[in-house]
Amino acid sequence: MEEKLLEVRNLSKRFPGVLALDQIDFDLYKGEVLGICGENGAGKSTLIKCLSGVYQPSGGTIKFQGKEVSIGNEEDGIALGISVIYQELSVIKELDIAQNVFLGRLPHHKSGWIDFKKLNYDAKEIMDHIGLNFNIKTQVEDISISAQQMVEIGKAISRNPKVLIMDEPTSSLGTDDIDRLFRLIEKLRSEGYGIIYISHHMEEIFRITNRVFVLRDGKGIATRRVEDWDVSSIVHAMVNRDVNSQYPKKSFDSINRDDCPALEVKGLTNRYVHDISFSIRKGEIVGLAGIVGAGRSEVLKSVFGAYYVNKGEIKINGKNAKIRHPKDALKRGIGFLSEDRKHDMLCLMDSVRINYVLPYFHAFSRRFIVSKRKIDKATKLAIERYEIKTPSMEQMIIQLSGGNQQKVLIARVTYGKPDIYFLDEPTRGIDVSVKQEIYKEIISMAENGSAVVLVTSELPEIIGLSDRVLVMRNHTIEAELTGNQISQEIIMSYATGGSLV
Amino acid sequence: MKSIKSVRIKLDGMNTVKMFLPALVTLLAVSLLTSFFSNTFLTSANLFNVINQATTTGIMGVGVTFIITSGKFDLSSASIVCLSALISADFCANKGVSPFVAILIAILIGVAAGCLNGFLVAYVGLIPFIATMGTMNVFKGISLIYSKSLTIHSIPDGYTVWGSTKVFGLIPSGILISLVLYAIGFFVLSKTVFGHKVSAVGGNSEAARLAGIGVKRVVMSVYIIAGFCYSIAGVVLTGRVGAAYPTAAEGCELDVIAGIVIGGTSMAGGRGTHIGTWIGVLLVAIINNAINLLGISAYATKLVQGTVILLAVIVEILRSKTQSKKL
Amino acid sequence: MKILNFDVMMLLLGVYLFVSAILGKGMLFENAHINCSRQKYNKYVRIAGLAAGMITILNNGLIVCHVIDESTRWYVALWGIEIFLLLILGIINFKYTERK
Repeated sequence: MEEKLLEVRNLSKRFPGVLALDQIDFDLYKGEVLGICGENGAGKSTLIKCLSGVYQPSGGTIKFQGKEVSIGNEEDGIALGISVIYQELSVIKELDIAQNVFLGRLPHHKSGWIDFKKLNYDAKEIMDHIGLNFNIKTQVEDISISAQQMVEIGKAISRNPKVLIMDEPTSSLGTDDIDRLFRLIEKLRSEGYGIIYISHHMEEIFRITNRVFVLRDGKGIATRRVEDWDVSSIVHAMVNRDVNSQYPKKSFDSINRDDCPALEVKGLTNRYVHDISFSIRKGEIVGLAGIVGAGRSEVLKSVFGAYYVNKGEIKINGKNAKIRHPKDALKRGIGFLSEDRKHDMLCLMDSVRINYVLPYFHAFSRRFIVSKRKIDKATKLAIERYEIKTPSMEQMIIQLSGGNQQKVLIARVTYGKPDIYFLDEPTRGIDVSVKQEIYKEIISMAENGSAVVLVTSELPEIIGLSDRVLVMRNHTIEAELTGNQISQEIIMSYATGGSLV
Repeated sequence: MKSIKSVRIKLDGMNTVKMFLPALVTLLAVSLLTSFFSNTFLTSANLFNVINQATTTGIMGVGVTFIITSGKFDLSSASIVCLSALISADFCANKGVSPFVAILIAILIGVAAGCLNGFLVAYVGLIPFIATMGTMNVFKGISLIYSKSLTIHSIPDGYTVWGSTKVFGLIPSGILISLVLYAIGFFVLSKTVFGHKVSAVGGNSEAARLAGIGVKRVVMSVYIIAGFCYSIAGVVLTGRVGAAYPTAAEGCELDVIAGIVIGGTSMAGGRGTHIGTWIGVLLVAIINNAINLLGISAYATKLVQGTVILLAVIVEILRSKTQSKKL
Repeated sequence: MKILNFDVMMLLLGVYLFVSAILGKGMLFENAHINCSRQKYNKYVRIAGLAAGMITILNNGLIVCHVIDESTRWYVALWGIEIFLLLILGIINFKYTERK
């Protein structure tokens, strides 16, 4: 029997007005990967924070390697040997990779000066171990989000933990990186680490875990060996209702082949993308696939007018469109949902109401006076229609869960009834049932006659929802796939330039 | 029940009230305290004095509130007040221009200065700190050179009337003008499309841009509005004091910003309250007045002011994010 | 309340520049769109900020303490250097900011 690293019994955590964790029991053994599944709000992040020392439990015990411990703060947790990799990156953008890995623990000479040689050497070792090939002195700000996440993982591993907790580690990773990560996890597992792996992605859970523990509404539902679970039983345990884990399909062929294409792009070139040409018909869903960094988001942003464009033609509904600023794009009927909600989409300190109508102030006004009444009415409708969980319209949007924030954004982009939707990672960081709702929304966007360009790193999503798939690699469009060609292998091979082509 | 509900909808959400409530409470507290310790505080003469002194910073505050709500900053406020006052007063007193035209000139200068600021920040892309520090020096320099360090006296009544009359024999005109401007400012910021855009730009300028808001235009407008306010403040100040001098309104930049921040508008942008600014500016004036009345030495005052500014600077630097640590 | 005159104001701004440059935080560094790498930009701003801050403190400090008078050559020289360094700070800001 392997040694037990963690034994958690009756763990509870109470906040004013809500019992976030209700008598949780579970164990973590050496050399195993324990998967934890649960909806947003089930208590996963509270559990992590209790284990890492950010929160103190209201009840119950935590035993680490047989001894009961009290983890008073984050340093205690790390000193014990519990390292957490959070979903939200905490890399410091102004520093380079090496400095981020050893943040706060930079090695120095006896004289007090930082020993850059040792720093860079050690950091390179760790990052090679992980499999990230960047120059150790690259500024973290200049590398992609997925690479930043790898740096984050390097930071956690550099402390030689015994327990590694990963909270949705693949949310910003492309398939290559995920493979790399899993190889690393395998390695760590064989080296005796105990790994807690929290994820919504069933393929990952089934691929990498030994046992799976399901949380629902703060209670532990069941822990079983992964072989004793299947997708529908896990999902059932998570939401207690049978969720169709298939992707919704259109009820009719919504593609409008008679009118001219909703959007035609020819030869679009700028700093970020090269010679992009494609067209998309009304009612069509086009998936834009590619590994992280291939330029997918940049294509959307460039057509949307967020990036300056040197060359290229854009035609909307057959008419030439000069798009210099998002304002022009919005006027021409393009709606955009960016992948980086925090930075590109939300005014975090503002209310749900304001965030909903952000692009539409003029629409809610008579002359130039904004009608609060109209906005309130519309917001109320949206909250009902999209089932947005918020105590009130005035709630600061930063206090909503990721899924609900995304719902607000989907409501926002839909409000303008655009002819063309640009959706960039619309289901990132969102739990299963809300994802289903969003998929249904995407389908109805197409059924209502709009064109949808969908960028997502989840291949099953692209395959399940798209009518056509454009694969990008290296800032250009590599291939266009239809019908049977849309498969994981073919997409990946074009995306990576592999030999299958 | 129904009438209560409709009243609640009309009030702009309790969020706004939450912003300036602390300032209001502090205002009342300080006033109360001072009136205990000093007999003269509550006299109408003294109170008018206080409010009068607050008018200059107050009128400036209308404009600066817009700037700060949009997430930007303006160090050149006082210099523009001084410059516009100086040149227009000179034209009126010494070059025989009619008061009406002179005031137009003041406004023109204020707006032009605001344009320069706005251009540098919005279109050239300079950081507000650097842009307005530069323009502050430039405007100051122009003021000094233009006036040759001389004060401008004997300004025709048509000009000074705006700062020195008492409407209905009781209310100083400056206060009235500032109240009018505050009302307009409040209305514009909280009720108009433009005001919402300003808040959006301050909340997250990139999100605002991607939502179709012309961020550059908004920023430019905000500085121009402030420039207009500065020129009005200049005219009123000149009227109140009776002369225009090259060191007019010096130091007011910080007073205004202090008033705004105390009033609840966040330096990070996105939420601005004119009511709060009004309260904050009054509070600053009352504190200054209290210090005077209570006979605290000038040295101690400098010490206190210096400490306050130091604290504000530290807070600002600490607030600035170099870390994106989110849990 | 006009306790602060222009030179005291500039002195305070100089202090802010100096402290901000040392700590590496503050409004100077909050530039969202920069052309070159963050490291380079920060380095340059830091150096420029330190230099400009120091001279500003020196210049205005001396004025405030009445060591220097407006008419002397010292004043003009120091003022010249101060403006020059502030200008450099401005140019660095300008050069490395992306304008779309």
